[in-house]
Amino acid sequence: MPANPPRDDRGFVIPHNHDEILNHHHVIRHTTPQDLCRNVDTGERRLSSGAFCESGDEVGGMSVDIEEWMAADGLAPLHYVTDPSHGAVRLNVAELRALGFQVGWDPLVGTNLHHGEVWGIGNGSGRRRKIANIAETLRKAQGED
Amino acid sequence: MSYALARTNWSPRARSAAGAIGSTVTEPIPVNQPAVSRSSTGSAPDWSRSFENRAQELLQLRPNWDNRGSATPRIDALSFAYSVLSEAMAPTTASPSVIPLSNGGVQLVWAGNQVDVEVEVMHPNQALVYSLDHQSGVETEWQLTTEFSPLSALLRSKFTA
Repeated sequence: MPANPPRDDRGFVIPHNHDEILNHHHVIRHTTPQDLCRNVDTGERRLSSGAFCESGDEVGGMSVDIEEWMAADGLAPLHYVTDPSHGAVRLNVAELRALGFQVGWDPLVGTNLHHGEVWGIGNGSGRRRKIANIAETLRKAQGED
Repeated sequence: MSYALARTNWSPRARSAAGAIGSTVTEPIPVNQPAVSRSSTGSAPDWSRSFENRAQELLQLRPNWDNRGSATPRIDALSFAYSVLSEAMAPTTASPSVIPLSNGGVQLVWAGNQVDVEVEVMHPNQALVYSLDHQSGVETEWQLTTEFSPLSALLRSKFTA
């Protein structure tokens, strides 16, 4: 088992770089048809930068799955992408950290022990587009070109 | 100003029988047709109807609608997004894509071959504008205040027919 993530007084995981999420590891971000924007010139539909938004929780980051930890437990990268209309992208941890983000562990007990977070994205599209630029598509969301 | 039919009189009817003795046919009175103004903007522009339809869809979303813990889009964010559009859009400006954000805000996206423009609305009176010029690679980001003219100029120059 990995070392426990740091928590605040209420038990919420606080932003951190987890030592056992290594730089050569990858995280999986789920995508949905709601994330798609349409090019007004071509009609092409692609992921918007909004797909890489942090949650609104007080200490919430961007929710991801930790791919290498899943693989170690015999799970495929898309194991937690259960909705057939959803897709997923893969992000390299070193690239995320090079952009100034923290990548840590936030286990969801009972549902997803391989769940992590990316913190530090904040508001605005600039940093989100940097994430979009390093994202590798594993499976397209329904409707994505 | 051009009024399409304003100066055209309805033609008086021919007095074919009017000259007959004892006829009760009276002289037709020339009547100006009612002035018809240029097409008005009384009906909602396409982007407005498109936004309203999309907002209705987004308000149906439940917490964790994406299985990644996202919040429901907030009605105050949607409402402010509509206000931004009302200030910045011309009637023929292309409709943006309206994207729900994990934090309950909404994002308006105009993606084009020349320029991308994105407006993120977090809360009422709290919005960020981002633009990317694909040719030069120049990115610009600014806080949207009550001054909408830079955004309006961008949308009208790049995304308005």
